Amino acid sequence: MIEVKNLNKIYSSFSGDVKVLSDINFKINDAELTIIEGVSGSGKSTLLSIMAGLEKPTSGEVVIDNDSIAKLPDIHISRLRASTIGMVFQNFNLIENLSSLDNVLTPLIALKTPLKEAKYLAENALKVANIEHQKNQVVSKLSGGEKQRVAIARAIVANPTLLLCDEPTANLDYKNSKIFLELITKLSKKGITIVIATHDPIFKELELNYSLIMIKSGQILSKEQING
Amino acid sequence: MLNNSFLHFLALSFFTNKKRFSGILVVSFFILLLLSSTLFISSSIKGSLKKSLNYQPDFIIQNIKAGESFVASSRWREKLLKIHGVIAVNGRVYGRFFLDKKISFLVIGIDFFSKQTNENLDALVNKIDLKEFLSKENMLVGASVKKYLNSHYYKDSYNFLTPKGEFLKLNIYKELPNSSGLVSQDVVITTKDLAKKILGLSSNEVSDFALSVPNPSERENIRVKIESLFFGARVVTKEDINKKIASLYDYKGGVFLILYLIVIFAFSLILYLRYTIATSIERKEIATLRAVGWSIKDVIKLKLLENLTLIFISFSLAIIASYIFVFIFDAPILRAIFLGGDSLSLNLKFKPYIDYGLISTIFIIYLVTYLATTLIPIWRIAISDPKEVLR
Amino acid sequence: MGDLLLNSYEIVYLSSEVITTIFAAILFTLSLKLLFGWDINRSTKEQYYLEKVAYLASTLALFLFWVKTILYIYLVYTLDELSIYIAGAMCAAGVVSANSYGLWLLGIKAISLFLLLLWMVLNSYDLEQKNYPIFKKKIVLLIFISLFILLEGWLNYSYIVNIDTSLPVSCCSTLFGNLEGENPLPFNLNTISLIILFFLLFIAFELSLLIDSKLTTLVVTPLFLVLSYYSVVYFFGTYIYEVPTHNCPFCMMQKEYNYVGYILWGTLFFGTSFAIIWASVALWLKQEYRVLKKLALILIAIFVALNSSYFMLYYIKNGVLL
Repeated sequence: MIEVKNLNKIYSSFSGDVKVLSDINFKINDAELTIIEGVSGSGKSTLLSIMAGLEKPTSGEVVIDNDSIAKLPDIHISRLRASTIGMVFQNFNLIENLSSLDNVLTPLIALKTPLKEAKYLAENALKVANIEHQKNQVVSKLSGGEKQRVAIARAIVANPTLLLCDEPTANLDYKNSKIFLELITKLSKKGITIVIATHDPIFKELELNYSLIMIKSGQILSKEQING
Repeated sequence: MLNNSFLHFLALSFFTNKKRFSGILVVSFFILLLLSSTLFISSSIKGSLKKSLNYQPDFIIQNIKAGESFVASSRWREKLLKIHGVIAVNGRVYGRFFLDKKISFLVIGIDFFSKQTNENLDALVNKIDLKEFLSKENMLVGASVKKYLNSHYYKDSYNFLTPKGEFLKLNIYKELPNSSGLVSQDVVITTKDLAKKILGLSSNEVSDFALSVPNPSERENIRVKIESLFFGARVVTKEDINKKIASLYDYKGGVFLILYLIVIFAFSLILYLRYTIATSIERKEIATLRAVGWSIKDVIKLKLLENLTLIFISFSLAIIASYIFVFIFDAPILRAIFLGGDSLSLNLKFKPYIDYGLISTIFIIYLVTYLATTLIPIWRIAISDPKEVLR
Repeated sequence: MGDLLLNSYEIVYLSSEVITTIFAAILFTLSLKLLFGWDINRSTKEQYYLEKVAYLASTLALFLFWVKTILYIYLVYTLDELSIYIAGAMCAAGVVSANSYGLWLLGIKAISLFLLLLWMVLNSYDLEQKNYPIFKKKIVLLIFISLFILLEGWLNYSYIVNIDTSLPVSCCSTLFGNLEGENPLPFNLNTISLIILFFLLFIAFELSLLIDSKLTTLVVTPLFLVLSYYSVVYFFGTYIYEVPTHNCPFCMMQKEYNYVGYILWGTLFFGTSFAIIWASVALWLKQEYRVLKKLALILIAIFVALNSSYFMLYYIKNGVLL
């Protein structure tokens, strides 16, 4: 279970403080699908990276499996990111000059998985993401859709319980976005908790139950349960 | 080992980013090549000097007047022999014969019938046919002398102009073998009588005395005795010479080392800049790794091991290359700097002399500066906020 | 000073030590910052930054440990090389005794290496927990260590500058030998009882590790360390040199003896250090580092086996004992 409590984030700069998130509170149960919707600049991306422990909140906390992650030492947050949190980014964030397979290996290296086992797991993840045929291809030679599938394979390779997706379809065409939706459906049915931050209307086409959190200027506007 | 996924990634990141590392690799290779070559040369010279010094007499007694070494009277010999603990006394005849201000030969006169004070000479004398050699006015010449005489059209003999103004013609009997190294390059060896004539010594004078004192603990006593027996006698022991030569070449090596320290300082600046202004690609890569679960510790480990790999590769390449450069190609250019361009001794070949202490010295200075320079920049890269780069 | 300072080995040694001293100074200021600024309960930017600074501190400690270890070996090698310049010195022993700083330098160096090792173990324990339970304690230790290394930097300088090449020193046989008939061994032991005690302590040491008796390890290890020193210098050493009167801890590090001294003293130092660290960390923090224990077992076994092999080979070859 994930609990976000009284979360605030203020960016300080020379021109003054900017409040990016104010008083965010919500709960996500295990195996739930949550979509956080808002225009760009509404703070949803920051919210996601705080949930992943990539950024520290100014105040408040995010509790994942009874740990307040902002307080965890770096080694523990990192281990959490490698093992229980998978992340998918808008611009994929893959290492361009490595092959798909080696990219998918990276979280397992942090977990000190032996190479043979890691390769086996990575190939499996690539299979789930439907990109196994490109496993030895260098990432820079892949198309956007293919890159996103490699990124998903990387996010799920260590069998995470939580998948965070930050504008995952922003750089994809309609066809690839549809493929992405299918993947998400597949993973959600497997019991992975999924949080997607997006402003792409395509997610309305999801044939799943999900909770929708609307966010604007760093504040939650509404929370509702959608039955797909 | 092969099943370690971290090492797999290390190898990947090293070999897929050749461009990132090649610049530093080339620069460090050349710096190391230069340093190890100079140190190889200095230790090779030191090594062959040490080897020839082992054959030197235990004591040398010189006659000092006005602070300069002067010829000694051969009458000292009897008195020296009477000192307990002294086994053999040999009056030596040698000196420099100058052709002009720059070029000179070392003329050595020896007694071909008795045992030589120098074991190198001993081996040499045993090889020649004495009867034939002594039947005429002959000499043995070193490689550099031979080369010089050849180039001045003295194919078979040379006319020495003695200090008395007379000409003395000596036939070149044989060229000395090159194997005895540095010391035999510019020598002319002949009989004592002929050498005295060339150097202008009278028949009862010698250059100095060589003593053999087998018991090392007696040496200090005997030294004091000799100095009180002859007013103006200076005793030089083998250890004195050893020390002097060692520190002379240490000094030359030391000067180079200090120069090198300056170079390596510049090098570390380059390194520092390279790591502080890490490319955006590198930054993005590290941010990506952090995002998928690498801890700060993992990133530091990766970067340190990348550096260590680079250090080992460039170091071993440079050591092999400089070995070839110095001992197979005889270090063109560098040798002239090290030995001085005008000397006749330029003809020598460097003997391979591997000093492991020296190799570890080069390694340590390289390792320590390299790591020290990159440590803090690496940490900076590792702690940089992944969020900022991943936007 | 003068002529000595231009020796290549020394230039390299001293300049490397200057670098480690600078890093020790950096480490010292970082540790002070960490000690006074650290507050795990705050969620301020400063606190998050200090968490990152702690990583710099541990990287520096790692760097210092490795470089200092390499430089220690290198120093002993350098001292051996220098022995030709100093009248009376036959090996590093004479050079070390050239002034009063030498022995202190070697001792302090060994202690700071031990403390760095201990610190690295404590640090890895601390980082593995979720709330930095011993953070302040380990930082205090780090301050202490950095001061130690700074002291070492000063000793390095004082030692080398104060070597007078013209002043004759004693060689190892006068420094360690028992030519005057005086018994150099502690507790009035004779050689046979020394060796029996040595082997008994060795067995006690290995057993205490095997049965996980930490307190016994803590008691036995220092005793074993002391007796090992005497056993090597006054008994096993004579078989390494194959000369009954040659008692010296340094000569065995020379080429003539295949540099075996480095292996002997190295295994002894790291073996006993690992054992002490294993036992004290297990007692204090209830955390067992089995790797340390295994290493201690193996290193000390190598140490004893190597010593005994010299003794036995001599006996097999010559049929008599020295």
